[in-house]
Amino acid sequence: MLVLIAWLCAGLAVVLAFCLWRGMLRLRFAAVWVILLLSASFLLFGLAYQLVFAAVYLFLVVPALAWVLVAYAGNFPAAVLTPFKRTGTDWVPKNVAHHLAKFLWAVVFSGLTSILSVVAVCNLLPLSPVDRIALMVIAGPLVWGTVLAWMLIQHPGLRLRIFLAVMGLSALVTLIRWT
Amino acid sequence: MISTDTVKRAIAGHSWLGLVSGGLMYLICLSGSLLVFSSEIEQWEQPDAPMINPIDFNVAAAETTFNSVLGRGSNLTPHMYLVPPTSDSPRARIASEKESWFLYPNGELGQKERVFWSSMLRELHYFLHLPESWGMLLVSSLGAILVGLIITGLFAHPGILRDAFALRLNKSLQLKETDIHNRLSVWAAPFHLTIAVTGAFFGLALPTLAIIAEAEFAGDQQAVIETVYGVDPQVELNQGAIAVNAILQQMPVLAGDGETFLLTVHEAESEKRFVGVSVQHKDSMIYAENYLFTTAGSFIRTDGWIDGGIGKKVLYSVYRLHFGNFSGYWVKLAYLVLGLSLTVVAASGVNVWLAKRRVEDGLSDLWAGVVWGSPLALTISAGMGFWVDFGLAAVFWLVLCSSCFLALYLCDLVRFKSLARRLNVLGLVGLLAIQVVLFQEDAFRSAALVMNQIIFCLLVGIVLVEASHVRLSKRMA
Repeated sequence: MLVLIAWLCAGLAVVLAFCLWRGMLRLRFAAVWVILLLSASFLLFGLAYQLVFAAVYLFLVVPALAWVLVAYAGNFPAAVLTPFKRTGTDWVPKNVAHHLAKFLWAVVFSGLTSILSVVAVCNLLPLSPVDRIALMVIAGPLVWGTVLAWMLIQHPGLRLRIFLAVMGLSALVTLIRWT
Repeated sequence: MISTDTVKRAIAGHSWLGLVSGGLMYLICLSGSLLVFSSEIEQWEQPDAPMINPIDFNVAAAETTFNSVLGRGSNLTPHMYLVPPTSDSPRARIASEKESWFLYPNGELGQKERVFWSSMLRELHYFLHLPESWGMLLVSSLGAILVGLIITGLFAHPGILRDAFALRLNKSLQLKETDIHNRLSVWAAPFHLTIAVTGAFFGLALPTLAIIAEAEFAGDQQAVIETVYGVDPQVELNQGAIAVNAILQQMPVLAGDGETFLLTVHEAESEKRFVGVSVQHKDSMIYAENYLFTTAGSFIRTDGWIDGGIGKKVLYSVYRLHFGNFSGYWVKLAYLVLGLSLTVVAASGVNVWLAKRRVEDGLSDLWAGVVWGSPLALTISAGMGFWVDFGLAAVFWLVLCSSCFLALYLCDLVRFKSLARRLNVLGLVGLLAIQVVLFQEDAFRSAALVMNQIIFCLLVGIVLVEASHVRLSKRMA
């Protein structure tokens, strides 16, 4: 029964979001209800199972329901779309070397910096060794991806370089001091 | 409010990040989506293996056979396994780290297990058929890159609310690909983020543990592993045969309603043998709790996963969370659908970049070859897996390369895609036909039936897509 109500709440939240998108409801009214219904759905899934399961169920249920409405509202083609003109192949697109170098630099540097920083910061936390290790291996990729995104979005100025240099070096120094 | 400059840089970063990793991401997502059903695929590869109802499992007979295998010595590896039948996989097996044999209901040793295609698929997903350590590191790095892609993607999409339900497939090729890419990725972003982080965990755990060992345990990696997994129990030497029956009889008392799915003999090659029994608890996300016994059947202790701290629970929950191995078929199906959506996101992301150039060339052909050739390569290698027990990875890459060459040779995207869809349909029909011819009624029971139903649904899906293209072409003509 709880699961059924949880499904209903999630479904209603998505339908309300859809109505809001269509301009059928006032923004503040609908937005509050969407948040309330999603929270209720999460709590009900959590009561029926556990909170971890509840979060995953919500991650599965909401997109599945939303895609049904996306398909419902979609404009489908009445004819094959005109294909682009055929040209000779430009096998090496413009600026590819520059972007490839930036990609490698960003991925490798953000990876090293974040893993070292996460280990260094987690070592300072008042947790048991196992809890700290768990936090390190889960937070590592998350921080890596976040720093990677930040490096790519940030304007390549002095601020970025100083921040990364300080972050990487301080993590390295902290780790060397411990060993 | 995000500035226009930030949006521009986010789009550029997102594009190049996606372009460089797109092909590998596509293969990993495609193989990972299928691996959600790994247990069912293994059973589908050999549906004629003896099936045993868990209630009818003759433990005493299995104990005799298991001990005779352990006594032979020739096939021993450090870990030896007795796999009892479960509700998910109603088959009993005796396995070493290299091979596995089925058990008949009377405990006799049956045929050898053949899981060549699922092994190939697993190796593709885990390390892209590269050397294991490097491949796993690369795949895990792609998990972190996926996190980066999700974040840059959200920054690159200022109209995220305005376009929340928009799907404009009828305007232009670029808008069509952009809408497919954005609708699939935005709604499922929390799920994709979960998959990215848990996926990165597997390969990054070891390098991270090495750094932790340097920082906290004076370089002793074994100490880190023992901190997490605990130390092996101290047992008396030379204890004789494994008392499987006595051990399994204690499980209902020790593990309540948990389901026993594996009995492992540790240190099987030495005299310090002990037994671990893995039990899956339905109400917990952790992979399993391990109950340790002496070979004579005396209970020693558990590994403390289910009653341990939050850290232990998190570490041992990652596998089930990543592969959707909990709550039965509906979650597995949802994982398959959302996994395939991520596969489409990877493909459509590159399609958006190609469409932005407003031309069609060899790069477009090559990408279409990868996108449509990969499922075809999986289908053909799966079909060959029923007869060939080696080189399936080579078959996969050969078909994929052939598909790319065919696309380049035809120089006509519409014609190639149509041909590729038809070849995929033919391949899937062939797979179903092989199953029915080789295994007759066995193809219509248990996990084989589930897999064949999924293959049929995929087949219907591709037929519908091709039919709609044919209909639209006719209308245009």
